[in-house]
Amino acid sequence: MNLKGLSFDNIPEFSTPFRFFVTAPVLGLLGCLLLVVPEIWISRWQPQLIAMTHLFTLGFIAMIMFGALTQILPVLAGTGLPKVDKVAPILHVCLVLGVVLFPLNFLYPSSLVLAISLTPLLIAIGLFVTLIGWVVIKKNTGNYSIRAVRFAVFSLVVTVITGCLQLFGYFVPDVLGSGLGKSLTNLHLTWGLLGWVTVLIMGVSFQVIPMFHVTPDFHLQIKKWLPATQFALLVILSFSVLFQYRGFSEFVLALLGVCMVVYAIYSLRLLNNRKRKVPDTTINFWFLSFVALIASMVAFLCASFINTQWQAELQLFAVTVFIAGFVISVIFGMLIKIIPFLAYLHLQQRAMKCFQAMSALPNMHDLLPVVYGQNLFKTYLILLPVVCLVPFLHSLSPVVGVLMIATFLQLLFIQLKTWSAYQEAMGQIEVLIKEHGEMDLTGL
Amino acid sequence: MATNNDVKSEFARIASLPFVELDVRHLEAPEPMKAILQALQNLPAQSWLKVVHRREPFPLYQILSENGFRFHRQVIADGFQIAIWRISNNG
Repeated sequence: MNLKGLSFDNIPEFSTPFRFFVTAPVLGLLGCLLLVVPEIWISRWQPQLIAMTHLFTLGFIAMIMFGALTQILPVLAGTGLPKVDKVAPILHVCLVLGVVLFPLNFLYPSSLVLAISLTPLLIAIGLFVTLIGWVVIKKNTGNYSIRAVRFAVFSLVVTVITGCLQLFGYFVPDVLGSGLGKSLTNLHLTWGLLGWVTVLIMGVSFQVIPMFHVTPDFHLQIKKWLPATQFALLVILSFSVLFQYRGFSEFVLALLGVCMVVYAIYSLRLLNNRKRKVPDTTINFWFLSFVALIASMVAFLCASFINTQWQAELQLFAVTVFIAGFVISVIFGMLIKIIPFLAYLHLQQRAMKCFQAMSALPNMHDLLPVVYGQNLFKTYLILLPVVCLVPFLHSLSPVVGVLMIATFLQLLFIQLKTWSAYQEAMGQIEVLIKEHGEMDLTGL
Repeated sequence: MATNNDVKSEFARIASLPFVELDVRHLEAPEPMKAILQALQNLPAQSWLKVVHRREPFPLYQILSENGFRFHRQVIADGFQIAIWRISNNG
């Protein structure tokens, strides 16, 4: 047995990831408020659209991913983050402040707003990158999920740098050469969505899909090469964009699209080959997410290579379906699985201290009833087609806003109910431990 | 925490004792953990538990370490084989 690198003291309290999970839908609700204005869909450069996109990508997606990584790394790799219970609350507060203030840069741009909003945001991202980066770089491992997290964190750094360059370029135009501004926006978007978000989802899915759904393992070559290829293509793309090799950039973008379609099709096949085909809402979310990923990539390739009057709409459709169809679907599916799972792990760990306390241990479905997940999926099934149409029919925007508010409120309700069930079960366990005393299982 | 060598030599000593085998490869999380902890509660004295698992159960390692168990993990063709025994009875 090799225990080197395993740290048993760093697994955080359940409240550490939960504070991120429960804040995310609240910030998502803020993003929904901007959807009441149909004009935001006129072009991808509309300030309100950019503000809304950042509320979703930072406020919802990054918030969940930051929280999940604080707890998932110890579960997947046996490596906790140093002093995570103390650092996470600071990180969380800075991220919330940054997310709430940052969109103001697009609505009311000024150097004061930039300074006030960017400071907490950069502190939050800096803390996260330092914490996670320190662990995943230090850990010399054959674990391909950890390798993918390394690529994802590096992609996040590039996303932040390209984003900051644009913001500074906005106030000091000479910082950017002519024509580089739009290229930087594209790179920022590409590194953020296809690097940070997608590579992280890939890495986590390599572990959680077989673990929760008893599917065959991802093929070794897929785990080894797919995130690495994706990352390498992003690096090549960046250089070709910076040196303005337009034709070559499009070729590399097409390869990135193909890479993700391969990932989606392979994952769909894997899910289809799972051993126990029992109904499971998380599986439904996974299926939907991979179909959305394929649709998004096909639209993206069409927008890039086919001359059509719908080019701008297709581009918007590709990004919208990628975020709302692929990423948010994965997140919803994962949340309804990992929140009760993590709650259960913490309860079990405590209940092990006393035989009698084991009787108070709930099962996963007591913590998050199946019907809650099913209802969330049903609402999402109504939302998704409308989201797909909105780049073409802007008047649907308020409908999307209302449906998204309903979805986020439902997610918030589910999380609070699970937290309440967790607290109740923990209370019962503590009472039993107090009544019967802690027991060493070696005495059995 | 015992060193790797301590655990290896302890395992070499208990390997000849009777064992209970538990294959959790077909179970979805967190069922493997439940099954293993259940098996440990019912484990006869002077014996050890042999678990066959698809992945490294890191959270289980923490629970074992905090509750007076030792374990020895080996990589096998399609996963991991983990031997678990009580410290007080066998160690």
